[in-house]
Parts: sequence; structure tokens; C-alpha cells
Amino acid sequence: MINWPNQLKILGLFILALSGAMSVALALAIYDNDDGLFPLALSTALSVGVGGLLVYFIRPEEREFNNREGIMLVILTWVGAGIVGALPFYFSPHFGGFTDAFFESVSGFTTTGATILTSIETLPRSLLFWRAFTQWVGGMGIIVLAVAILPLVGVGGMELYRAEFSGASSEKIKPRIAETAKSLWRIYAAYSIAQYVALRVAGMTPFDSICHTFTTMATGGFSTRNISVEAYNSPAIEYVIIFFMFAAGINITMQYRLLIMRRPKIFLRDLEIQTYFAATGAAIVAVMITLWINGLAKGEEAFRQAAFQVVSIMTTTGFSSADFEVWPPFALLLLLALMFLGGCTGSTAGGLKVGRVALLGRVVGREFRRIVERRGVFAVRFNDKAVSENAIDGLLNLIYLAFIINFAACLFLTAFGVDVVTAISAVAASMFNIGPGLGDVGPTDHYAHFHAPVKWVLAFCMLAGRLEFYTLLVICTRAYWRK
Amino acid sequence: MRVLILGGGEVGQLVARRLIREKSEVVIVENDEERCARLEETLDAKIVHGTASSVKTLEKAGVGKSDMVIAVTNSDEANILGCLIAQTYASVKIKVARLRTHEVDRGRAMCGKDLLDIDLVIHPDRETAERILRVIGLPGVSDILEFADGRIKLFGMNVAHDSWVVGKTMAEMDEAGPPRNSLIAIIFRGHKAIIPRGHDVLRPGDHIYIVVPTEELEECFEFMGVQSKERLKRVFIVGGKQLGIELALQLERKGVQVKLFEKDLRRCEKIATIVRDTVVVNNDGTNQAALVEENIDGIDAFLALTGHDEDNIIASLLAKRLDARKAVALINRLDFLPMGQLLGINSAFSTRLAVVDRILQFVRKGKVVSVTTFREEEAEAIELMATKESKYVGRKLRDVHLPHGAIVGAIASPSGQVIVPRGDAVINTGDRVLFFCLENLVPKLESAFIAGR
Repeated sequence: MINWPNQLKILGLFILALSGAMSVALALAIYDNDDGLFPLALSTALSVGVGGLLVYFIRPEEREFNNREGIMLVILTWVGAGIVGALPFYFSPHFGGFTDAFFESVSGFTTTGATILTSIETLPRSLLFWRAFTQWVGGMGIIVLAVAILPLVGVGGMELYRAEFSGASSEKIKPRIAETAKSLWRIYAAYSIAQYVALRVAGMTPFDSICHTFTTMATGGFSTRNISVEAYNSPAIEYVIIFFMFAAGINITMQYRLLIMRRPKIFLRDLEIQTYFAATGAAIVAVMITLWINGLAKGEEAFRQAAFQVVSIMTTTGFSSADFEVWPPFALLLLLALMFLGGCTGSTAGGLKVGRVALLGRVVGREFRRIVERRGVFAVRFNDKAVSENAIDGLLNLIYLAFIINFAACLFLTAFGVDVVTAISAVAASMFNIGPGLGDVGPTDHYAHFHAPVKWVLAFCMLAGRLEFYTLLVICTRAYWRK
Repeated sequence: MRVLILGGGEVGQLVARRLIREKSEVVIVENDEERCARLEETLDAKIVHGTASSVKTLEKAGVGKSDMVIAVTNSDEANILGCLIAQTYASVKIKVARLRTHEVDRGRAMCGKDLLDIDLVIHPDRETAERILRVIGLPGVSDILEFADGRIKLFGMNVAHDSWVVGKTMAEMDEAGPPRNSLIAIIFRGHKAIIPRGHDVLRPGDHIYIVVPTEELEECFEFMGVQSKERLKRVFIVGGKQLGIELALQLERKGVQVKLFEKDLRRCEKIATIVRDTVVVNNDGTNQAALVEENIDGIDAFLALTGHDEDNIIASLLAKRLDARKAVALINRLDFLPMGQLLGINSAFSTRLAVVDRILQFVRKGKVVSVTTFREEEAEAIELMATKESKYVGRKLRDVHLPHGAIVGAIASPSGQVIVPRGDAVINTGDRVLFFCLENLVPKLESAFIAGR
């Protein structure tokens, strides 16, 4: 069964690492001497204390991970990150209680970007930095980071990697898991540096550039402004962010093949990437025409607005460059559909993932052939390879589960008096890690007005979506706990 | 010449029988004891009981004194290992192996000079697939063979009851104005093989082979009343073994709609991951209701390629009855092979015979360029290279005395010109001459042609 001491020890190490990250924000608070100093100092001290105690006093027997332990560790670290990350917010006067603090923190680590802050600009820089930093860390997956950094996880790391990146095209690019994680991490970091430079050139302040870089590469979407990127009113900044959001939505192992291994053919022939480009392009054109016809924008501006919103929603980032709630219903529903679609598997984006939806299309196509050829036996092909029936079963179950949870959560929200459009979009925006939705949670709104239970359910949705549903729900089954 | 044959199956036996007749010393290694006893009774060869991949067994079989090893056991691994032992322990000069693995292209690289140094690798399924593909779009043609690097074709066809050629003698056929260079080379009538002379008459039900230069093939089809090639649209394949898959892959690449029938569901699932546009049907292709359900109506070709000869024959007959334009059956038992033609199946192929052909072509290499056996070795086509010493060279054909039952089918000169000779033609040094003869005349003809007078 589960080796609890081992789990707690790793959790302790993980909390220590988080406190290290937190101390960066603390340093900024000391430098600025703003009102983030006390909450950050206290939280850092607390997490160093708890993490240190766990690491120091627990002496587990060394053993390799089994599958169940991998799942448990993933959940523990994500929930742990949510709690530790919430501490600075909890101790700060800008947040109303632990529910709000936890919601904000989970929203950060899961790279959702939904906020309960009504006035972001009043926050001290140190807390804004921490808020953005949670997304950057969460973006690449706390676990992948941990695997690259903590050699302790060693061989059993593959189980974690699977739970984290259960996408169809997440084959290992190096034989050793830690090496793989490090290579991916390097690409992530390189992109981040590139984006920082680009944003600076486009005229953003250093601090805002850092924060937006953190939240773009993670497809998170926390901004330092209430009205998000719209506040800068700068086409150059918007184009930079469009490009990096789009890049962040592409499968990172595929980026590795393109950028490091220099194999553009593999990259371009990948069905998921083709679909991703095609879907993005088509949606941009459709939205652009809608805007133009309805006289909301025209020419370059129509293109920019359409591209920004489509890419932002599809990659589940959740920045906004315009209040799209005033757009025509067709554009709104299209954006809602893109929330479900999401980015590529193996990217930091959420959603059902383009690859899965493309594969689902193939499965449906196969079903049509089966109806015609009653005794025919057909394989589903993806990127020229036959997909195993197990993988197809897994896909269908996952989509079924996603919709069931989605509906149940919507039902729960409406029970608390939330209107239908808000409920549907808030659940989708949480579960697929986007952030802003429609109705009362639109791009210029916030999640503060919800009742506490609603916030907890939405936080659960964020985690469920981030961990691909099964990982989080499996520990609720009896089979998991049975020996 | 001393030849070591690994594997005493049908292919091994056929090759052995042939080589024995040509005065070679043959040793056969066979690991089935009962079969060893049977071989002992029927073949004038030394039989060694044991596995082909054992050094000890091969030593007992005298691998060191052998000039050639022919590895045709049922196992690819044993064949490769047998050749490897022959190479390393005894440096046998010539090695031939049959490999069934479908990765034979890679296998060929591995078997080449640098590593295993196997001189000839034979892939039975591919060999057979190539032959089937040649005739699949030609309902009236049973088989097409190539000689002289493809410059000469030999095709087989059945003489139908309503054909205009029925009742014609060879001389009359000649007068009817056939393409200049064609010749009816062999007639199979029931169990008999006839090398026709001017007065022989064609009868309905005859299976005839016609030799013709490649460029005149179409013209010859027209003359004989054979429908020429049309674009294939739909093909049924029964049996999901390697041969069936190989053909399905080749056909779907040409845009043909293929349905492949396989009874075993697990096997179907496996095949579905290999083929692309081919529809894999989990159904019994020897069942009429199943074939009708899958719209056999109007298909261009029906290939019965299961592992059971009987099933293949029945399925082909069924397909013919359901109006398939062309039915092809895989028949591995050689004594069944003539029956396919009697029953009206358009083409019958044997993977074993294809292998034997290839081996014999190779073994007799040197002055014999290629050789093809028909049926159960009743008649043969052999291609010989005319050398200076040959007593046939430089004389008109009507003046040389060919043994009775042998004719010259074609002469290909080194310049690339191909003729089907008349009596006044002359064989020159360097020509490749295609003879047709009854099989018992082969040694006589060879020695007469090659060794001089």
C-alpha cells in the first residue's frame, strides 16, 4: 500500500522548494518595503518550518513508487501547493478569508487565472509577483519541475509523469525521465526569456513584463491590471502576447523536436499540430468577420482583437484585450466552444485538448464505417499509427467524465442562484483552466461575488481539469484503497 | 556437386529430386524422424536426422565437403543459423535461404556480403504476390512468366469451349496471322504435357502456354481473344496471412478497393492496424451468404489465400459461381494444382513452386539463366546461354536435331532483339535461348547445348 512516510517526506521537500520560490517574492517585498512584507515573511517562515520538520523528522524506507503512490503524490503536491501558495494571500488584508486565498492560489497553480480580486492594482508588487509566479511554476507542472530537481524521485518518476502528462503524444524524448523533464524545462525557460525581451521592446515596464511572461508561458492569464492586457492599449504588446500564447499551446515535446532536434517534418506532419493551426486560423477568421460585419472593429484591429481573444481562450490563457462580452452571440458561443477544445496535449494549456478532439473525430468516423460494414474490423489511425483500443476507451471515458463533472458542477452553481450562462461558462473556465468566462465572470469581472461553497467547487474543478479528471477522482474509488 | 539441403519438406524434396537427377550428391537434414524414414525410401540421397541449426548435425551431414547449402526449413532462424554455420565452420561457397519474415528487405541487407553472406534470399510470399499481381487484372490469363530480363513473356491460358481456336492445328494457327513472334509452347491436356508440333490440335479445356516478346504481348492477347488489362476496382482477398496482407497493401496503394476476409477476430484487429484503406472483414470468405452480404457482385478479382488448399479451391469456385471476373487460388499441394484448372479456377499458384523455381534458377546458374517448372514437373522452360562450344550455334534450326519433345521458344540476342524463331533462324554465340521441353529431356538438352557435341 501507500508508503505514507515517503509521501510526506517528498511533500516536505516540495514545500521547502516552494518556500524558496516564495523567498524571491519576499526579497521584492523587502526591497519595496510594501505591505506584502509581513504576509510573505510569515508564510515563508511557516512553510520552511513545516517543510523542514517533515524532511528532518521523517526517515522513510527507500522504496520505488508504485502506481498508486504516484497518483497520491500528484494530488498531495497539487493540494499542498494550493495551500502553501494561499498563505501569503491569507495573511494579507486584500483577501477576504482562506476560501478566497485558496481559490486564488489554486487558480494560480492550475494556471487557470480566475481571480476573486476586485481591484488588482491595489495589491503590492510583491504579492502580484507571487501570484504570477505560482502560474509559471504550475504551468510546467509542479511535478515535472520536481522530477527535474529532486533526484530523489528517480526511477519511479515515470508514474508521476504519466499522471501529469497523460496526453496521446507525450512519448519520452530521452530515455531517462529526469533528462526529459530537464530538456522540456529548458525550452520553457528559453521561451520565457524571449518573451520578456519582446515585451520590454514592445514598451512594457520590467515588472509587468516579468509578471505577464510568467502567466503567458503557463497559459495562466493572471494580469497585473483589472482589465488585463487591454489596459496597455498597445498593439505591439498584444501581438507579442498572441505569439507566445500560441506557442505555449503547442505540445512541448513537439517543440523539442522542432527546435532542438531540428525535425520540422515530424512537427508539421503531426495531426494535432495541423488541427491546432487550422482550428485557430478558422476561428480567428470567423470572429474577425463577425466583428467587422457588426461594426465593432475593422481591418487590422478586427484581426488583432479576434486573434487575441481566440488564441487566449483556445490556449486557455484567459487574457483579454477587449471586453468580448459585448460581442455578438455567435462570437461568444464560438469562444465557449474553444474553451472545451483547449490547446495541444503535452502543453501547458488545459481543455479537452486538440489531439483528443481530433482523435475523437477519427473514432466517430470509424463508427460510421462500422455501421456500413457490419463485420468490418477497423483500426483508428492517428499520425499514421494505429491507436490501441485501450487508448480509445480511455479517451471516450475521459470525455464522458469531463461532461458529467461539468454538468454536475453547473447544477451545483445554479442551486446557489447563479444564472445559467454564468454557471456554464464559470465551470468550463475553471475546469479547462481558462479563467474568465461569460456573464458575471466575464473578462472585466471577477469571481468574488460567489458564495464560499461555489468557490470550493470551482477550485475542485480547476484541480480536476488540471489533473485530467481521473487522477483526482480515482482516490475516491474503493478499488484504489483496496490492497 | 555436393549439395546440402536443410529441411526435407516439399520444397526440399522437389529441389533434391531435381538435383539428384542431374547427378548431384544430395544430403538432406530433417528433424522429423518419420519424414526422414520416408525420404530415405523415396530419394537417392543421404538423410541426416537432426536440427538444421546444430553444428553437430551439420558436421554429420558433411557440411565441410558441400559446395552449396540450401536452407528451406520451416524456421527463418534455423535457416539463417544453418547458413551462418556453413559460412563460419566450413566456408561453403554458395548459400541459399528461404526467409518468411515480411521485413525481408532489411533481412536482405543483413544477409548480404558483409555479414551472413547468403547468396540468395527467397521470400515465398513476396515471390508469389508478384506473380499474382501480374495476372490479377487479366481474367483469361492464368500466369505470366518472364525470361531474358523481362524481354520475353510466357503466359498461360485456358482454351474455352467457345473459343475460335478450338479445333485448329498449330499450322492453321500459324496461318491465321498471329503476331509475328508468338508461339504456342506447351499444351497441358488432362495430366499430359505436350510440346506441340504443326499437326497438333487445340481442344477445349486445354491449358496452353504462349511465348511472346514483351512488346507484342497485348497484340497476342487480342489474337487469342483474351481480354486485355482493365483498371481494377474491387478485389476480395480471403485469408489474412502474410500473402493476403502483402497483396492488400500493394493493391490499396494502386487505389483498388480491397476487402480482406479473416475468420479470427484477433487476427483481424492486428491486420486492421497494418492496412490503410482495405476493409478487414471478420467473416468466413468461403461462405456464400457472407460473400453476398459483402457485395461480391461485380468484383474484378477474388483471391483465395488461406492456409488450406481445400478452402481456397471451394472459395474460388464459389466466387466464380457468383460471377467474380477472376478467381485465384493458392494451392500448395502440388497434386491439387492441375485440378484448379480443371475446375475452372482462373489461376492457381503455389508458394512452394515459386520457391522451387527460384532455387533452381539460381542453382543452375552459370550457363542456365533461368528455369521454370510447370505443374508437377511435367514440362519445363529453361533459358540457356549459347556458348562457342555449343553444337547448335551457327546452324539453322531446321538442321539441328532437337530431341523429340523439345522446341526453341525464343532467342534473345545480346543487342536486345527478341525473336520467336522459325526453321531458318540461327543461334549465335551469346544469345539467350529459351527452350521448352518435357522434363525428362532436360539433362540431355542441357548437355547437348552446353557441352558441345
